Amino acid sequence: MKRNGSIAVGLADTVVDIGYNNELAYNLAALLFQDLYQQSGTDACSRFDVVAAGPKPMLSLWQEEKRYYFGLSRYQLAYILVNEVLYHCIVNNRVHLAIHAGAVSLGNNVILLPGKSGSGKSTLAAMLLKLGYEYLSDELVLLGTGGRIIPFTRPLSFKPDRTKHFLKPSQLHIPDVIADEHGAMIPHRMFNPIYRRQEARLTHIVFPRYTPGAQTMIIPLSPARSCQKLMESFVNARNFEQLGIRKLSELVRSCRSFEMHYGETLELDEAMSLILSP
Amino acid sequence: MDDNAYPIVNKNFISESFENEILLYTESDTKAVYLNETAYLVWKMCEDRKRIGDIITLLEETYPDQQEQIRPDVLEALRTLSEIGAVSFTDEA
Repeated sequence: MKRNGSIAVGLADTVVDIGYNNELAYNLAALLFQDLYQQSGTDACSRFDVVAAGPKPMLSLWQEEKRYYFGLSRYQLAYILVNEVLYHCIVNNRVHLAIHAGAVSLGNNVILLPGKSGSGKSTLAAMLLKLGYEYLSDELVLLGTGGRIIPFTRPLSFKPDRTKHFLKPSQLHIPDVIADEHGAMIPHRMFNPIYRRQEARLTHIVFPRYTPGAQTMIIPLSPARSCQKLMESFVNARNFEQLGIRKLSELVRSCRSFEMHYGETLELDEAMSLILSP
Repeated sequence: MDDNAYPIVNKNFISESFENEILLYTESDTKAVYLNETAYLVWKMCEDRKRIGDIITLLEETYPDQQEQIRPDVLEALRTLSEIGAVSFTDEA
């Protein structure tokens, strides 16, 4: 039985402490950050506390004296907390370029899926996991050295209109799923139980564009075009100013890049086989 | 656009080469503009303080088979560069 305590989570050298007051609060925090544990005892840049209290229970999220959430919705608290941790991983990082991107792997192929909100990163990542790809992230990666990426591995996050494509109504209420009318966070192990925490070396960059019912289309991109599109997915422009374009241009030269328009799963396997073929 | 005008380059813009393609960007802004080979040659001649008319003439001499297309391509490239703030124009040398 978990009593009050805290876990250390984060990315690269950023550590955020997440406090909990009981087992319910601990379970929520663990579900969100089980793949982002950091060394405990390292200096944290910030601390958030998840509090569950009362028979319902009522949930609240705190940062010192500031309350970020109070109510009944696990999803709304989770959404705020994950984004706060993500923010701290970006704003406190001075050495990595942060890219708005999903990422998956298949064997030695590591595929980056850059794109802004609504471009279809989570949907594509979920579809690929169901085809046997391994999960890295659906939201953010840091670019390390030698083409390696450091993924922000969180539950896949879906808007309400996409949730029904991945969850049956009976699954909305299972403990591991965090869902309500605002959206859903689904553990990636529900799509593919195989997971390895890794800082993988990128081999492919695929810019997804999801449109329901659209025919799948693959467009190869030159390194220049890929670099241009990748720059649109930067999250921390300040680091770009310091680090310059060199790391990015080295990355796109070492990868194969594509734009992928897609709408249905059936054609996705064939499309990805074409992308990954030597 | 006047052939006697001189394009002035914005020195905040940096070019990154990828074989036959160029990206032009500023470090403070994470947007980049893609330049094909012609547009890149135009950019380089702007850096050399050539008049618009001289840029067109030089390219017509370099690519005689494409003479008809050179003027519209150069003007289009200058428009693109001007729209992103990479060049402005003056009548003075």
